[in-house]
Amino acid sequence: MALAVFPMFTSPVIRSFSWMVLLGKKGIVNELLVELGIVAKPISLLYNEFSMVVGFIQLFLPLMILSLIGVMDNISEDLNLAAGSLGASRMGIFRHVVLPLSIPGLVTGSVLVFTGCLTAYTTPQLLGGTDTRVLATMIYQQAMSLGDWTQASVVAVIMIVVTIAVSTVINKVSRKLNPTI
Amino acid sequence: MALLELQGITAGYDKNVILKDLDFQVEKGELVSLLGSSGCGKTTTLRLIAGFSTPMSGKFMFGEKDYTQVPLNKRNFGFVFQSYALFPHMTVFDNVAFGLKMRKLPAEQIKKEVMEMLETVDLGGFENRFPKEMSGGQRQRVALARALVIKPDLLLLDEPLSNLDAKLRVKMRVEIRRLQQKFGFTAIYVTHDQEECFAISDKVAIMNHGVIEQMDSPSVIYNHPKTEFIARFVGFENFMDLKPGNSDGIYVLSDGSSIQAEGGRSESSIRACIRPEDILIVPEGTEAVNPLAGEVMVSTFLGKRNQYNVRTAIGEFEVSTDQESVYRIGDSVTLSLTPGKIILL
Repeated sequence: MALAVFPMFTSPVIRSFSWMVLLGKKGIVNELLVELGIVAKPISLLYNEFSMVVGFIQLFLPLMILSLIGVMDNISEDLNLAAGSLGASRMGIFRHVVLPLSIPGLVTGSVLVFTGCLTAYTTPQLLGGTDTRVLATMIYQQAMSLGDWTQASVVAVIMIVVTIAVSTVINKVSRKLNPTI
Repeated sequence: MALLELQGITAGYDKNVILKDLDFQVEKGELVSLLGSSGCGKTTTLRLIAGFSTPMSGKFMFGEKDYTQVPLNKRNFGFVFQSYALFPHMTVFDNVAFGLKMRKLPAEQIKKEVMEMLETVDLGGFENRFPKEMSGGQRQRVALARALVIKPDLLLLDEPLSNLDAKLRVKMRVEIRRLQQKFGFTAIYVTHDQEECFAISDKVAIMNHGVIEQMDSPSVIYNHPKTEFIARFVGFENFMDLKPGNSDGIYVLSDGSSIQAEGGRSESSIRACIRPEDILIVPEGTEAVNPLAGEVMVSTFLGKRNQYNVRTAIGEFEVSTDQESVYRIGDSVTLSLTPGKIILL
């Protein structure tokens, strides 16, 4: 729990810069890979989709964990034991009891992480480099660098539509899995 | 050989030992209750049998097989929880069908068996409800149906009625007994309610501090408790120390007077007890068997009965009587201890 929340104490900017240090051509990760003989020469880990995804994971994983802890803590141990005594294996208990009852947390977490990733600006800007553009950096580019406000507005509207669409789908699917929500 | 046998089971959490070298046997088709106050180890015993935990040492034999290490989902025991533990995201039908689905039975057979079981527990027509839409008694019956539909080799009930109101509790315990006799299943029932347990069981095992003090039929326990703990548990309020007298059936009280009691015993010190309702209270000086002179200390009106606390030379006695005459605090009285009702421990 503490481990999950700890990254949230630092700002996304600082975190992105730390990843730059770690993932650069002369960063600790590349040096380790070369040292262990896994790669012949440093590979490109920074300013691409990979580094952006790493940054996002570190940024939003805590949100998902926190949403899940809330609901999973509330699942009574008796339910697992009941399922077990009725013949369910550990996998069966997870699939039929734990997973469906975790849906509310899964929904909250997914919506938080999805909207967070969609609207994040600093992380993709710093870790994504110039080639990997996301909608948020694209709006900035269109509006501030190119002065094309029409194009920027179109992208912004697309973002809103996508957000609504995805939230609706998540809700629909979760209701199917756990009809009592 | 007994269907179920615990042999020298020791169990607990970390360093905290709850069960010490416990031996326990249940015959096929019996309903055995584990009775005791909270913390006596009765629930621990039940959870151990269910497979929710494993003992530190000892063996659990079931049907002549060693079940000590058999995992929970391979035991085929039904368990009814105090909290019912119904799956809140499933309908009544799916709750009851869960065990059969895990056994991968064909859908038609599952449907037929679940519907039959719901009829048996008087819940026909409720199959599409969710647990939160039902009353406590109905949930309890769903829990029972869910545990019974898998045709368990053993049914375990952990204080199943303690969340129900008094009337429903009586109704449900009759229901459980009816089902048990209808299907002839073997059951272990944990409770702290003495009346409930005596009403429902073939045998009662009274537990105290992790050991079984006495296991007998309810009437034997009620009339012939073996230890002071059990005597107190089943309503014996008055205790006295006796020494054997000069002939059989005659004992000497600590103040030197002698009384009659049934049973020949020769130990140098015998603990004896008698229920409040087995003592007669008469005015001082009246002719009586086993007389004890005393003074009324407390007089309590209980509706049908009057209860008196009477101080005598060998200690305070609690007397409960339905006689018309009423004694006041400070009245001198004579207590008559019915000889056949004095129990030697």
